[in-house]
Amino acid sequence: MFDKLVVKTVNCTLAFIGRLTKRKFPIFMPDALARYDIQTTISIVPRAIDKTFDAINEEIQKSRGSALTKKSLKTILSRLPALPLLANTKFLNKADVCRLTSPFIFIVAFIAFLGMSDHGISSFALFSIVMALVAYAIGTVVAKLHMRSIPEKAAPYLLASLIILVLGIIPFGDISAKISIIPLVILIFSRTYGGKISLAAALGGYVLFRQGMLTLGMPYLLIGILGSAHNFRSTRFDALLEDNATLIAFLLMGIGTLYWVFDIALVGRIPLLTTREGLDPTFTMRSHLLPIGTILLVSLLGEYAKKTGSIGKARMLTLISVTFSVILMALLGYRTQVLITLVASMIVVILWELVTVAELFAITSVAVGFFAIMTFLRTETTGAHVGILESISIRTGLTLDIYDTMAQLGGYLGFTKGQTYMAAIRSFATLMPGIAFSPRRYIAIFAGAGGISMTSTILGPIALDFGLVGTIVAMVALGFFLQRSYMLVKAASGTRKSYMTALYGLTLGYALIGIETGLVDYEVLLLFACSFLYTLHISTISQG
Amino acid sequence: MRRINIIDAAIILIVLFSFYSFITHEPSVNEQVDEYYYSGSQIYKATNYMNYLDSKGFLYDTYVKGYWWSDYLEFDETGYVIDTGQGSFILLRSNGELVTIGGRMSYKEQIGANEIRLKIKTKSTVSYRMYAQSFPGLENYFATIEDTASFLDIFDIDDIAITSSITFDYGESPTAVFIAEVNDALRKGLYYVKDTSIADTQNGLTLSFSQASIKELAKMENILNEYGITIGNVFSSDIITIVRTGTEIGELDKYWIKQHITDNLSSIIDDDENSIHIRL
Repeated sequence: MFDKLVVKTVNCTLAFIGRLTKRKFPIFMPDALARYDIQTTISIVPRAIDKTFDAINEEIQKSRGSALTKKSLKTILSRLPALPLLANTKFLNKADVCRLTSPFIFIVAFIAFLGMSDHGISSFALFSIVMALVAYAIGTVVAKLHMRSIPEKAAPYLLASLIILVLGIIPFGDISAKISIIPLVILIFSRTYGGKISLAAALGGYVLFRQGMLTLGMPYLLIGILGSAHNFRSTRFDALLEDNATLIAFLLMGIGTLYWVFDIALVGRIPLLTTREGLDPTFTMRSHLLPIGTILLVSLLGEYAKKTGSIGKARMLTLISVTFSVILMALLGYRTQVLITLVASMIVVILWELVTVAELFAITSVAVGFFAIMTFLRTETTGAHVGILESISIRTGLTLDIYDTMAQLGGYLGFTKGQTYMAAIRSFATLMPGIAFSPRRYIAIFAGAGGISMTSTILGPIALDFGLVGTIVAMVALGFFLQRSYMLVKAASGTRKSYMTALYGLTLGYALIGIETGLVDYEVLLLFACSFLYTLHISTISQG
Repeated sequence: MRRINIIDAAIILIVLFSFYSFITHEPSVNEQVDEYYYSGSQIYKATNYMNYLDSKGFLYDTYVKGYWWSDYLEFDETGYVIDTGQGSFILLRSNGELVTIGGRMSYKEQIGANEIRLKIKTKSTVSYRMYAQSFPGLENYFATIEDTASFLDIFDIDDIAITSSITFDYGESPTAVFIAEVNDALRKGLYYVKDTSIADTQNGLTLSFSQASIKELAKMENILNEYGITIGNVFSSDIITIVRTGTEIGELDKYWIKQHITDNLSSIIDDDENSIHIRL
């Protein structure tokens, strides 16, 4: 009966399309469906997905937009004067400078951040920071291990225990659901069941999540998504991304610039010179696609320089695009976006060897000199007895102090149980009781200030939500992810390397800046999620 | 093994300097007992702790080192905190002047603090509610409060603070200017008092005070006399009394203190368990 209904619907739809387009489609009979049992249908799905990717790729390749971006980039590069290379120093080669981009730089930056503070912190907060950094280091070591599949003999037993535990939710409630996560995570690494279990967990988690069962739905959904990224491999998807990298970079930059214009037009003034008040948060968030597109373009230019040897031209266009992005973001009045553009582009150009060591030192020296001049001018013109370095120290101290309060409040297992991170997503924040706050405003309220937002280091929101245990888990994940990405940057080639380098530059940059600001912005969390999934996906393909 | 280059050396130096800088800072405030130190950037923690101490009724002096934002002259004084805000507080100077203190970068306040020290003068507190009643005079009012608390003398009473209001007869109806003048004189003349105000009510005046040390309130009559206000019979509202001791009250002492109030003082003190609070 069901097959007749399906066939009838398909025939009706095709007849309707045929009448509109004046085309003739074959009429299907219910018998045609007989051979499509569940097993066959499931086996067809991956092929259908691959074909869809191929079709999309073909369409994009044929599109004028794609041709235009490729032509534009080619024309720009051919007409652009080359930025000459400076002489390299003898005592330091390019490969040595690459060490600055290692994931371990995060630990160095965190310790330097602690050193900048103008006061100490409580023993518990210090212990939490030490544990978090150790956890991060452990994560980087774990990332170097080869992810093996579990013995297939054990899979049926794990599957049975998973089913029992899931059914156990009815009589035993949450505790059974929490324990079920253990076999679920292990089963993801099963060759036979990994993909199916991941998909089922993702779908089940999503349904539960939509039903408002956040504590149950969220872990299942996350594990399901991670498992799917690990298990499903489609080279067509990568081809789709890699063949259209230039278009994607230009699209991101274009959309970002467009929303920047909308945002400025909405308030009718330059926020940097007046105030950020009145800016549309959605427009602002979308305008942040500009730095992401810029970093991808810089990475593609690195690839171009490696292929063609035209380093000078690639450097010139890098300089122009980064300057463009920095100026636009600065005019919007957001320091983080300016910093991320600078830091991420610096990481990318070091990894692609687009700068020399001498230039790197020169840029650093100029930055230090700039700060020194600013301090002098500030003291001279305003008479303020707070220098730039002192203000950095005070800001660091305040942030660490807020972290101290959050660590005490979160204790070992957390205080707000995910509420702070949930507030990053506006639609979720409004679901919660009371006034909807942004994560940093939550932090401020718990620190004793209302109506303002406060930063509490990268660890503050995690400590408040999930305590020391959550902080350790999160830092292991961050260390694992950044180390895995770094290894792929080193191992990958071609456009895949461009993607990995851009994503690694962005995520490491955000992690470094996040030491002070925290990783709680929606778009940043989204970027980390996408990068993590892409890294897992690429790792699986590389291993395959 | 990979060689160590200048980058590695720079990283090692940064880590070592940062470690050194961090561990040589003031020790954690949690390890101190009678004096709590905060840097200017810890203003939120400092004000939170002030609120905590106030809620327990502890008496503390506050030392502030910083700058006047108006001319960057150094500010280096000990005063009494009468109110806290978000990342700021109001300090009563010994000359009666009120100044607003903020963090090192808080330009909104009068003073940007580099250093804040809370010097706690109290070891333990006992707080209870005395019933509202009339007294033949101010002297009798204070004497009753002191007599009632005298059973805690063994803990070396350092100070008694009260939150209450008293009403007394005053013939003529005072002008608003007169009331403001008296309020100003009271604020400047009384030191360990969180808040004080005088208000004109029908046929009389009402004096309200919050966490006011009775040693300080003893000066009140003279201040009022200067403005021609003499206090006769007074009616006091419920008196929230905080007895601040110089010796720490032991865990077991809690039980006999509550029992003593129930047995001997229940006619003047609310002996309900939730009305008597002892902070060790």
